[in-house]
Amino acid sequence: MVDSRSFLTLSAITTYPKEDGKPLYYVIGLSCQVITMIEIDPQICTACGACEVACSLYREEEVFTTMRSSIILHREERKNYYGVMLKREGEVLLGRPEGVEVMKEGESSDTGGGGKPILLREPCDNCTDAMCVRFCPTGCLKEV
Amino acid sequence: MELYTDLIAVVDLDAGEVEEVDIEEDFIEKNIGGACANNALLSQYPDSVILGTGVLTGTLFPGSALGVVTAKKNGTVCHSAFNWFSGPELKLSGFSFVVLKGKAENPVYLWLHDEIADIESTDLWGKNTWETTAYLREELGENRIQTLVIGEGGEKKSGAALLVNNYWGTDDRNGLAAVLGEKNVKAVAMRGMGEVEISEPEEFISAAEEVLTGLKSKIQKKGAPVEGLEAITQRFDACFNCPYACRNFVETGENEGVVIFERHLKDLMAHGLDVKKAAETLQTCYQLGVNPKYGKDPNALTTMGSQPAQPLEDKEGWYYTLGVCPILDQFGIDEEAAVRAITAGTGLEISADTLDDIVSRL
Amino acid sequence: MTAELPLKIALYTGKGASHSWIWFVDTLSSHGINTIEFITDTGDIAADVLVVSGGDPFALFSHIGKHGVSRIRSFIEKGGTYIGICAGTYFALRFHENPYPWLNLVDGEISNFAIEPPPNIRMPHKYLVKYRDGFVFHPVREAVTLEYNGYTIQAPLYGGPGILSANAEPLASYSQFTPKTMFLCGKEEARQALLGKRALITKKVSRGCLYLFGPHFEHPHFPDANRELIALLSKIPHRGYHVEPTGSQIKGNEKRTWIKEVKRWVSNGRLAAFGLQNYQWKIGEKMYDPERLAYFFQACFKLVSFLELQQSIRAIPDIPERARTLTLQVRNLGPDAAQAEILLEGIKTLTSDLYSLYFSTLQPPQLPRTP
Ligand code: SF4
Ligand code: SF4
Ligand code: SF4
Repeated sequence: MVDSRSFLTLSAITTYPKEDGKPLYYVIGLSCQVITMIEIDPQICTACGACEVACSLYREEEVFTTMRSSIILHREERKNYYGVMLKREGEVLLGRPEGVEVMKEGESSDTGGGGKPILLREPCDNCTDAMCVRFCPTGCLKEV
Repeated sequence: MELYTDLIAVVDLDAGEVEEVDIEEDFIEKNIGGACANNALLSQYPDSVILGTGVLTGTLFPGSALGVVTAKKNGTVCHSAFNWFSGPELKLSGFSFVVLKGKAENPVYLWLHDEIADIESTDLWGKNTWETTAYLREELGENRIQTLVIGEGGEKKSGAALLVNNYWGTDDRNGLAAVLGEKNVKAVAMRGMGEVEISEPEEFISAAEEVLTGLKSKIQKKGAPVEGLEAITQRFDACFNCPYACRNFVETGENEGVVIFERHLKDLMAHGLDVKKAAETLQTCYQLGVNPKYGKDPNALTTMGSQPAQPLEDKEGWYYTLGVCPILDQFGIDEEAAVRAITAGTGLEISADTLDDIVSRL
Repeated sequence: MTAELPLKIALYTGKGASHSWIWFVDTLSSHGINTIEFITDTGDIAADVLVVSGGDPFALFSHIGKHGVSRIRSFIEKGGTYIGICAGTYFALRFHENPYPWLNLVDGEISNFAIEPPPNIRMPHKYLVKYRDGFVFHPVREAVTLEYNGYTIQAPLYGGPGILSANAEPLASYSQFTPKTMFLCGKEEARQALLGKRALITKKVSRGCLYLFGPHFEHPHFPDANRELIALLSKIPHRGYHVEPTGSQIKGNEKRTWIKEVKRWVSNGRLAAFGLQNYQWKIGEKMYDPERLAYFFQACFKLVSFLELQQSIRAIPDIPERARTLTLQVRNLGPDAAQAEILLEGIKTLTSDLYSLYFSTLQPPQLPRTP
């Protein structure tokens, strides 16, 4: 049986259409495994960066820093273009104003913003009761 | 010292030298941080400009985006606040406080990174704040660098000078940008790759989460409450770890725009501008580093005479000491939980009364 | 018992070596082994062990050349131990009927060579390397389970081979995938290519010996594999080499000034490397990205932070200037692969020099180990 939470996760990365109406990302095959995953709704993100500190604290336990998180904020400040990137095993989930896209490790993103050496960071552990979700003040991060 | 990075940078601009002083527990116990700690440093180093972070700045405590700049102007000690991301970035650069003593012979910028404070001479004098920030980020190779920068207003020591954080105006209600101008300091650039220790992480997290939950239940809005503003807003932005995204971004041209600070926009509208024109004018004010409180013509604002000091109001001193944005006060921050966060974070026994007592000295 | 000189390890960090040698150094150092010398050519190997870790065997060969290869051979013949990991294993293994003229000291075949490899499903840039009439392909990455000495341990695979029958003694084989294994081709094809194949082999050659690893036993996140690696090293005979200390001793103001300058530029370089955009550079047969540079700068920063806390340290006078030059190169780096390569080699040398200073500061290596 495929758990509905798996569907939720996958639909989150398929349903944002590009301007030409095509989805940005096609899912090939579904996993039946029930795992918690972090979903991003970039439309309500306010670029506050709380998730970076929260996730870093989850990793380091006793310090505040932005350097250890699996999630990082990307911002082009003058045009107010921003979003978050979540490092997963072998891929990066980009939550940007255009929608959510999965960028495989080694690929570059078409609109830039995939930048920065996020790959040095630990991949997301798909925590339950995740610190990033608890401290995201807008609710744009969710566990599904 | 927990909740702080270790150092105070004492920058001697005359000599072009920096002394790194350790932050002692006793200093924090007596002064907590932010405006109160800046005051103490100002008495130790008179005629300096002090940049300081609050005890909670850069932590998971909601709204902990605030940093404070303190200096004497016409004999009065004045505080102005900066937020966005520069408060946390300053702390995580390794310097929780910076003392700027004396005057540089030629224009300089200060570059703070990994417990290193570099005084760099620069030909950025005469460049506007946007050019300056763009140049520093390009030159130093990292877009996350935060800058506190002065424009023409600060360079000309205008009474209406305004300190700018990256591209956007800070709440520099006392025109302390002019004091930096007097010292020939064009900018302070910061990059925070450091870390801040927490004494009792679990207690801290629970206090911070309690405050966040309380705030979230009361915050029903985004953006500044200014009529007509929402219609021209591209997106709402928040400063570091703030649950109230009070900053509207208004596009003013292709691929650029301005992050609004409510009071500045309202000032321009009070001078008779409509909201769109006010936003456009605000962008010019920020580029020139001038405060629209004193008029609607940005160019004229670069050469204003001295203006009266704006003392801290109501509970602002408390927020300026903690390093939390006072705009959140309208939603009511659980003070008891804030004190708990401070004690859990620092490991010091600080009661609400002691805190009030220290703040009352401001 | 008489005092004995410790095991001396020569670690190749020259052209063709990627960053995985840092894992090796950190893991050994955390087990108290600090007698490592960094070499960028193989002309004169005065050590008990030569380690050639991950990277690009083509680039390795074009740098050390036939002469370097024959020096490694004679090092082994005279009683030295060669440890190949990943690229270092391909380098020592003669596979394919028409092999490249690499070290080729062990005859065997690898299970991840094919004229037509299975279709790739992720990370195309990490999947294939052209080899003669076909390709070396990398079916999986990350943690795999190995059967070793009758029990199982985990270690990560980043391009290392599965070894089919070879004229060498098998020590470990790939037994299972793990939840962390990342499949670059279909699971079934990966299973066929890897499971049951050898992951570690050893062979005696004259008086010396080779150990060839597919996976990275030295990766710091895999303590069980680390332990096995250390146990294996402990069996290697010590032949009495001295490790010369690096740099000269400084303290007081001289130390403060030196360290401050180094830290200033390493810090600047590190943060500029973290700020790099998503360029990729093709250097030799391998793709490099900003992560690699950031990784080296991060390692340097960690070492400098350690040295900063010591009263008296060993120092090399020109390091501040070299760190400054490298930082300026990072700041000006664009998509040009040639520039990236210069920088990569420079930062590798800086990193290994700082490690040498760290070791020399930590424990004057000329002193014999007390048994
Ligand atoms: S789920 Fe856990 S590991 Fe992943 S981003 Fe959130 S806090 Fe970090
Ligand atoms: S905490 Fe939430 S709102 Fe803030 S930057 Fe992260 S994802 Fe966006
Ligand atoms: S309330 Fe507004 S100004 Fe204050 S920290 Fe939050 S977003 Fe920034």
